[in-house]
Amino acid sequence: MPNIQLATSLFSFALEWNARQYTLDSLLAETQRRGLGPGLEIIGFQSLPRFPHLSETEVSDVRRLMDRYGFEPACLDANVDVRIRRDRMMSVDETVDYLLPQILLGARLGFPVVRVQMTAKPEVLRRLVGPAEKAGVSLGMELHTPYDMFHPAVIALRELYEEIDSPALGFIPDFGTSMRAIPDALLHSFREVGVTDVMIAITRVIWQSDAPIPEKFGALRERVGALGATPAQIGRLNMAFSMNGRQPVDAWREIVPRTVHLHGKFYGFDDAGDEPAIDYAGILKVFHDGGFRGYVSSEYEGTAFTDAFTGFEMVEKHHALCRRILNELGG
Amino acid sequence: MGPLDAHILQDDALACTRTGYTLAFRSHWYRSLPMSCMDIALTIDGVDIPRERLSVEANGRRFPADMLLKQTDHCLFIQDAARLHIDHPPAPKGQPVAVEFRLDLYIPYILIGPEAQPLLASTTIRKTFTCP
Repeated sequence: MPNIQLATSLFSFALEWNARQYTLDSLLAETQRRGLGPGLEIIGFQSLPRFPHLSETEVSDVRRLMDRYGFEPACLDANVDVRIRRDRMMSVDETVDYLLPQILLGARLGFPVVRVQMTAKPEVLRRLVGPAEKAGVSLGMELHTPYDMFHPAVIALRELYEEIDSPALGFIPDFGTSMRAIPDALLHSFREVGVTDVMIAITRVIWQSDAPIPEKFGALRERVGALGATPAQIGRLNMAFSMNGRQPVDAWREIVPRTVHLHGKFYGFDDAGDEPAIDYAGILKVFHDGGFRGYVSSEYEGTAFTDAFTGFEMVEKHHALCRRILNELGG
Repeated sequence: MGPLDAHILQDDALACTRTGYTLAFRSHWYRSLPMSCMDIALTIDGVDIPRERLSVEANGRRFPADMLLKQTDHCLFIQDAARLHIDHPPAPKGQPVAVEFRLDLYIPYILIGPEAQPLLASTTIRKTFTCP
């Protein structure tokens, strides 16, 4: 069996799912029919009604579906919703109480990894590592932009991981953290709200700079604001910074041993089937050479701004791209 | 905001009742959110409907729109609709009703700025319905 296997995150099918074209059963059936396994990633709050409080019957129903369509449970995505109260942040106790049922459900559904998010403070992880070990799941911290390897919170988290040194604490690098360009499809979508070519060119220049992300938001507001950009237009342009990180690919090398899953984020493809905005060959080589064993999950992000493609056609292309690169790397 | 906005109000979202209207709405994020992360505003034929005349029904519960903030313990499943009850004199049968509905989503895991405020994903839908 190859070390790196392919998986599909149902996140990719947001258009189809929100349009209610599919049930979980028919969605898994179609994903299997197109050969988009063997791994499966589910976002609890997207795919499962009453998440995370599922009855035993509901849990066996989901397990039976994954089994029937031949999927290997790869990752269940928990959400660390620390601001469900708009007046204050959840306390550590409340965050633990919010996450624990999600983690235990991940284990009950047979997932080896439960994705968590950087809104979980180190104190929260410290409290959850015991229950996760006992349940037999790894907590995978998603490293999604702006949380690149140079972010102070990620540096602190790596220190915590070294200190606790548990197999139940790992990372899920998101490829959107390490991009070489803002995707053209995203830039084109800005034109819908009247953003001009000059504003797009300015956004590109600021994105390419090494300034910290908060400074980039400020510079963008100032420069396109001077050209008459509306708050709505600036809001859309901000997506370029909030979705697309530019960490060098090699920076991930050091965390490969603690990587438990990969989020293969993507936006679109050129005629050769490559993702022009993300160096897939370079990124997969880092994890392959570092000895990563696990899944790379297809996460199509385009539904945030375009309905020009179906999630299925995009995931098919993504699987083809990853398969080609992994074959070249030797499995 | 994006392509998922298309599902907020279906063509048959508005129903006319004896005391007003009901409006079925869905959320435009990719996942279910606690109802406390939502806020709404509504005009009908250009008239702002005061919040005290709005109540929300979801998951078998009905509560005043002002109590949305308190609904931290249940989510609106992303494929389900909530129902807004609107206490406002309904239009006569067959007459068009212009609805402007704003749905604000405060994304509870994407925190912005030094105050760590939840990201606001707001969408306004304008649609004209007819009372059958």
